[in-house]
Amino acid sequence: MVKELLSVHHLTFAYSGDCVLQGVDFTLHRGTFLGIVGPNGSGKTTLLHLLARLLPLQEGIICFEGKEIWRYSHTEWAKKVAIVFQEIPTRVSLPCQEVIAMGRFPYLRRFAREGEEDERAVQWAMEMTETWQFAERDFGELSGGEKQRVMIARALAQKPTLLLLDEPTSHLDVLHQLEVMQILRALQREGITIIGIFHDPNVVAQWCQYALFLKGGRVLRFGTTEEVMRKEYLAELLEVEFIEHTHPLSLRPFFTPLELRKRPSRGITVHLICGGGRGIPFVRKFLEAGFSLSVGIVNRFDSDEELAIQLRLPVVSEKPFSPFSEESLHHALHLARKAQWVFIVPTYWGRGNLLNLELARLLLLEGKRVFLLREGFDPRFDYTGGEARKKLAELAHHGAQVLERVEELWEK
Amino acid sequence: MYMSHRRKNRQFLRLLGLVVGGLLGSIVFAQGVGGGGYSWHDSFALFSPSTLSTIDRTILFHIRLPRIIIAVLVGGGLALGGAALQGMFHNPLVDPYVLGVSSGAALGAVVAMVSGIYFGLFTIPLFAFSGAVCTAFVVFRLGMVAKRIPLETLLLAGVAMGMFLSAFISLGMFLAGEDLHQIVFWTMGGLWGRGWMEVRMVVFPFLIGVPLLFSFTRELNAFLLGEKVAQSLGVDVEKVKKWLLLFVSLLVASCVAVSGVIGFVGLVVPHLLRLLGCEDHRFLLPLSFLVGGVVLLWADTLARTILNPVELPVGIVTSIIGAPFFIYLLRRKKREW
Amino acid sequence: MRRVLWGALGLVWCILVTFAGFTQEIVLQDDWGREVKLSAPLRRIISLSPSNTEIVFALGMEEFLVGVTSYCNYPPQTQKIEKVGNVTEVDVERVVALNPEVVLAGSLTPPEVVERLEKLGIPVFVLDPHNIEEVLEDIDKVAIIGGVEKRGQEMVQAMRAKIQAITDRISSLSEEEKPRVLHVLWHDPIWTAGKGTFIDEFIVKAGGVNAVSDLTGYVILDLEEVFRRNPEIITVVTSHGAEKVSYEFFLTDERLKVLRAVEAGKVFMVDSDLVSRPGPRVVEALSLFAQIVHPEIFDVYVPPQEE
Repeated sequence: MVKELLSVHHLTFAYSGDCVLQGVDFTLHRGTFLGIVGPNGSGKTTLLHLLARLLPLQEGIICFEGKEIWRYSHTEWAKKVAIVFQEIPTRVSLPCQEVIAMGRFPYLRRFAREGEEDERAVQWAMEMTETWQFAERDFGELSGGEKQRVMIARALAQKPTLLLLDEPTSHLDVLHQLEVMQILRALQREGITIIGIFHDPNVVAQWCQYALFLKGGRVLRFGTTEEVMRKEYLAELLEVEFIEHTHPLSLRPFFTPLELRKRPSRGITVHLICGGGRGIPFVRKFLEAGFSLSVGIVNRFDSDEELAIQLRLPVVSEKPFSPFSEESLHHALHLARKAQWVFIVPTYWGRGNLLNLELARLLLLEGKRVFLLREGFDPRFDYTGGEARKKLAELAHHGAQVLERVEELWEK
Repeated sequence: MYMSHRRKNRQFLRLLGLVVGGLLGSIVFAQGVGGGGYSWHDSFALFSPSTLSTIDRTILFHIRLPRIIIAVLVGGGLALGGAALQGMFHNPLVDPYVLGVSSGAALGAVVAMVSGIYFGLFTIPLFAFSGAVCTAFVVFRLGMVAKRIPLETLLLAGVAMGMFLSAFISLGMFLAGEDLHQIVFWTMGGLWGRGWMEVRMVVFPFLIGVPLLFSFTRELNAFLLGEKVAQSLGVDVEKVKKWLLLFVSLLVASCVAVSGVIGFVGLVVPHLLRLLGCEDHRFLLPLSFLVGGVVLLWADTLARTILNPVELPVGIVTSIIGAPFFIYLLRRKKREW
Repeated sequence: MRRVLWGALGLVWCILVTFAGFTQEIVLQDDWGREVKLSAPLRRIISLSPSNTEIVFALGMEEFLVGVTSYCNYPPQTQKIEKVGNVTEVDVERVVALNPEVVLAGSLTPPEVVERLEKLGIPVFVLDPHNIEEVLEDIDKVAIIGGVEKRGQEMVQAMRAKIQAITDRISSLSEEEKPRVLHVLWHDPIWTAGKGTFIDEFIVKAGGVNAVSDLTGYVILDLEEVFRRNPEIITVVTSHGAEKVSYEFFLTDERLKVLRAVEAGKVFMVDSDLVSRPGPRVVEALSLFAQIVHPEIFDVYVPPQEE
């Protein structure tokens, strides 16, 4: 047995002159689950159709089990490779088992009746997909998720070695999407190789072993999901910034796209003095208002720090749960000098972060404009026995402007 | 639970038996219906032909019987063709004349009538058949885009061709002058005067075409799930389409050649069977053939007896009954079909 | 001076003509019941049907005929006259351009055409007879229009005499002696002429019984009925002499061999133009049927030989 199930060499394809795929190369082993991700128009579906022999090859070679795919006969091929499409057939009112039994088409000769083996295959397909419960029901009366499961069962009845899926979950709600993905994982355990297009990168990150990033008809990344599913690669692929989290149960990464309403840049950088997660709403407000930001000093793993890192903001951080050091102050001073303004977020003050007010004082003396909010003087924020408030008042006295609302800055 | 598949088969066989029984009953009944009404003696005259006068024997065995057979064959052929094409294109509005077979046949017949070419009683059927086949071929070629046959282009090519040929039919009518009635009668569609000669003419295309179409039931079922799915199941989609179009066109062309243009049977019968829950082509095709035969037989029996001794064109009967029935089916809209 | 002289002469001529009775205002009722005002005699006539053309020719008025239809083929001289369309499609412009004094419309002339011509100030006289008697009346009326009343009366009298001669000779026949005749206009389907048609009148006046006398007008007959009625004689129309398809059908179709008429060789081809035109040749058509129906009384009908 050849170890590689599928190998694609230099696949190039064009629709009437428009190049859709350019030099796609990859190989896939038996029993793996590959997810293909890419922006719209990246050639994902074309690639899948080429693999399924729904499109003729133009350039390049695809080998399946060591043999060029077009050298299989129509029925031989249908016994090896099955495909499930995104669109669910409409206007079909046959009992589901008949729909599933259509998967036996390549095994049946003209006029031949279904035999025991065919029945076994259909039964197995129904068990794998848990569709036996609506075997007798009319396909047209099922819900979208149920229909897609029947379509997967139909593909399974072909007893394929390779199962291809073109965005099989895109029309489904979360529950049905999960059901389908669980079925696919079970199939993979049965030894079936699966290639699926998914437009949600999290599905790939969660469920697939391998990922292939396709952009502009070229393979951007190909490797195990651990290697490939990273937010910087995703940003490169989909041109959207992502925040990466860890799934609390599967411990696999998951990604949240950053939603930012881009404003024309004001050309002003603001240095944000924050901490304790109090900075998060201000980060959003400043960015949306078109300011650039730098942050510091914050402790590592403070949620303000994490956000700054995700957003790739320049940040000066101190070790977790440690008081700020002179060294950090030095770095922060260095960073903040590049900014035009300094904004002190109303945050909690303790012995550990008082140095931030020292930072502000130094910057004020250097002539930077420093702003703080009236609510920052609230004694509930002060865990230094009044020292922090004294320092804040001092700042205000030396020319730091006290604002009622941060939005007052937008006018300046 | 998958065993219910067998139950389904049994169910179908029972239904098939019922329809075959209905067809045989209809034939026996139609055989007894003539000028003066129904006569059971006529129905069973087949078993005692010697007691009949020559005239009666001619009426029963050389006029009525072949006409009944032609009605069953033509009705069956049109409905079968309609069912196959509707399934293939997954579109309920497709009728067996999509390839312009009807206008092609009409033009062929008109050419024969206007030009005065005559070499025997089969002249007009032969011209009609040739016209139909040529038109189907041209439409087929026009509808083909890059070796594929998309439904839209095929339908549009058929419509455009139909209009183009209609202009020539009109021209033929204009030029026909005092022979106009011939063209009018032909285009109305009728089985009047059909005898064993016409049966012999259509029997060959039917013997070939009907079993061949029946052999495509599994492919047609796969088409139900969409062409892409069918292809992934190992169906050579474009080849199957070509074969189906060829067989249907030959079958329908031979029907039209002997009957003129008979509407609605090919459209309504498969549609009706689908509404009754028969979507599986393994059942739909044979049932369409049989029910189509029964329907046209009744329509023709009605056409020749309702105003007896005057006869109506059966094409008018099928349209008068078929069109409102079709609209009723559309209004019910129980399914998306 | 000269103009005055000519004017005076013209006036005198007009007065002379009027008082001499050369032209007179007449009002005639046509076959559609319309009262048509005409000033006879009319010297520019257009005929819109072959039978009208035949009437005009028979009355010797052909020199007044300025327009005919493309279907007009009898007598052959009509070929030289300008065509204004066919029977159902009339080129009104051409009609107007020919400046007719009267248009003789036929049964198939579209009523809109009649209306349009009337609006354009052209008198239209419709000839749409339904039996031989009305044909004779129409001949009389056309004669009045053309100012040849006398000639018309003579002609009608002669025709009546011929018809009388035929009906006289068959009047003594009993019903059993009258053969049943089926007249076929087209074979696919069997298209026949029932009551109220000229054919029916020909058959009856010729001493036969129309096999479809229970039906009215031109009807499609169930082929079975042909066998059930099994007529003694079948007459089949040929159009233009070239189209013999229907006649061939009766001679060659195996099934029809058991029919009495076919067996006895009593299937006759008759010229469509002759038997379908309500014109002066109705008498000829009647004698043709008489010969076919009763060859023992009248001369044996010999079909015209093919060229």
